[in-house]
Amino acid sequence: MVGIAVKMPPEDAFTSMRADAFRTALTMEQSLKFLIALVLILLAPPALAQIRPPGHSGHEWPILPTPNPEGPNVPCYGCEGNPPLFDAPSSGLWQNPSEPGTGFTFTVQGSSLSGLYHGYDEQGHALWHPFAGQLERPKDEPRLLRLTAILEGTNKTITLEFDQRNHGSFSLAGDQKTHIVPVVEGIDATRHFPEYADYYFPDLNGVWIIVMEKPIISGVGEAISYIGGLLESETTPWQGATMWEYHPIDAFGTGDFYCANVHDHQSYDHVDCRYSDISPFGGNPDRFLFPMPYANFGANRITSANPETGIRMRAFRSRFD
Amino acid sequence: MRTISLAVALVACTCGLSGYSSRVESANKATGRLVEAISGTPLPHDAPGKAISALAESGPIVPCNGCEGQQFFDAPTSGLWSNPEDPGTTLDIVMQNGLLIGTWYGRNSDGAPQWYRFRGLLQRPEDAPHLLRLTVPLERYEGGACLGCTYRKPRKFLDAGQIELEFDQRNHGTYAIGGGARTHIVPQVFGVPVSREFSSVMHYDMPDLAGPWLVTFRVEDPMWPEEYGGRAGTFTAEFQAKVVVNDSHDQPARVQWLFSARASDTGEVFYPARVVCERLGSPPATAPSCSFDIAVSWATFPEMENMSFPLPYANIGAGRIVSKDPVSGIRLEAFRLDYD
Repeated sequence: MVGIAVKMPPEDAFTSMRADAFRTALTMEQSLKFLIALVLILLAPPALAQIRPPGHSGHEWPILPTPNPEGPNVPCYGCEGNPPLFDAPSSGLWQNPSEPGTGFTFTVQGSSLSGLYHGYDEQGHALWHPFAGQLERPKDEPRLLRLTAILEGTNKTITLEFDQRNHGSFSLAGDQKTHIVPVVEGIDATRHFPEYADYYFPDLNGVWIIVMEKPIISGVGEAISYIGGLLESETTPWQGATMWEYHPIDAFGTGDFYCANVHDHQSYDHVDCRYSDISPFGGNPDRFLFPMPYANFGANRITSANPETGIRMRAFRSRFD
Repeated sequence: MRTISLAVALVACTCGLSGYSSRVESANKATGRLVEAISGTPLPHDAPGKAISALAESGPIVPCNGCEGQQFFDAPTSGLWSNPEDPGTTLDIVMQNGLLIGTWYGRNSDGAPQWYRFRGLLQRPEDAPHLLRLTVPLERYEGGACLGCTYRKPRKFLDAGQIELEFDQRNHGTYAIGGGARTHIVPQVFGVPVSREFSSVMHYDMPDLAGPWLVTFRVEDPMWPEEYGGRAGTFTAEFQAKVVVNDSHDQPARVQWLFSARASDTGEVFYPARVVCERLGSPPATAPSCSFDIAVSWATFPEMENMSFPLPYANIGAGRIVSKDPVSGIRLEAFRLDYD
């Protein structure tokens, strides 16, 4: 049974004091961000974001990208270890963006996935093949979700493998993997770190509900949820970073999603994304850091988990789908 | 940030069910859609044969009681839709911020597999604001590469006519191609059990709601910044197993799911909400009336102490339940956790 604790607003939340509280919290948050920046930044080169123009639907393909049979590369930094940082791949249309006109439809319900491949036969006539199966975590790679199924109407076996909620691959009969990502057309998308990941990052500005869930122990868990606005920060406190501030409307404080291009001690470039928030459950630590695989940021969901506590964080975009 | 456990938060909550109003619409009517004859329309190029050949409406009928003039939902469910009587044809619908991206999977008049892509912003007709509607051309693609072959850019053709989609509930709608007959469609549910309640009137497989859900409320309010969600609130709880009460005809008279929640400090179990569908009158002529009843009071939502959201039958979905209170304008959006 999932227990409940409702993150409640203060009795006087309607008053102007509320705005003052937010302002105070913001100031503290910004100070903290600056300190984090000092730790994270080691000669990060400025990243030139590539912005897909509003309204670009992708289906006209006016300038066809260079075909890349391997598909988009989106490294999964921070994905190793437990607990897994996503529960299911996104439902919807998926494709290799450099090869439009063919792809998949995935519908995920629980651990079941129902899919449709749409493409062409040898003569170029349209065809489609359904398939279905259970998503499973391989014992030797629990960070992944994998499905193997027969493409109906063929004797081909398809294997899907997801390393992030919005990044995966397919392969036929054990052949070469092709990486795929969801099609996002309803909102703008930006390549914030094009040298790092072939991933159009969806515009996150909007109203989101965040749910924090403690792991279920002895049949009893605990969940806390709050709703608020996610806004891209206008003043990023360090070079090469992107930040979104989360302002819950029904609780004090703010959380931050941020991504920064950093070097680790081996001088290896990577983008480190995190969600930072005050612990809604109290106790220690009083502040959580959730590692955020880059492609766990989706148009309608954001997911992660805290490695130390096992607490899962999931964000749902309100009135989006 | 302040967290108050449910035990404290629900000071004004009516514990148990004594505080629930038994809200049942008296205007239940089985609408019984007329079979419409469609005037002859030129056949689009190799358009879906089945849809064109049939002149009568087909598919599951799910009356939307009390929906006229209301806006109980923002978007149809994303996922696979079909007429369960015609499992060979499937529509994939992806909703993103009002934009519908769809794919029709079926067979052409020769029986060969065919798929069409379509997309557009859903519109609310001024004369029927309870509906969401879209009429757009079908995009046919040809000349692409086969599976596992070297990529080849396909060509797009707009010679397959138009598709007209119309949704009256989040999980019920119709479509027609090239001016042909309308086909009623519902989402495919395979992740949770379903059951056919009120089957004489409602041709809708009701998903089992049991399990954890996230419930949210939002309403525009000048005192609250809209970019943060306006006046808004949320809680999580768990639907218990369904309870069905039969009438003297051994037909379901009431189907109910109770939300249970456990106070984090005392462990006490509360029942802050329920979904209930009730039928007045004798079957088979009467359709049920459903509501999402809340018995949770917030400082920001004092009206929630005894609030009942009218719920179109097919707004109860496997992964989402949505409604809007016509009086206050408060929108309800509930997400099933651990589902998608």
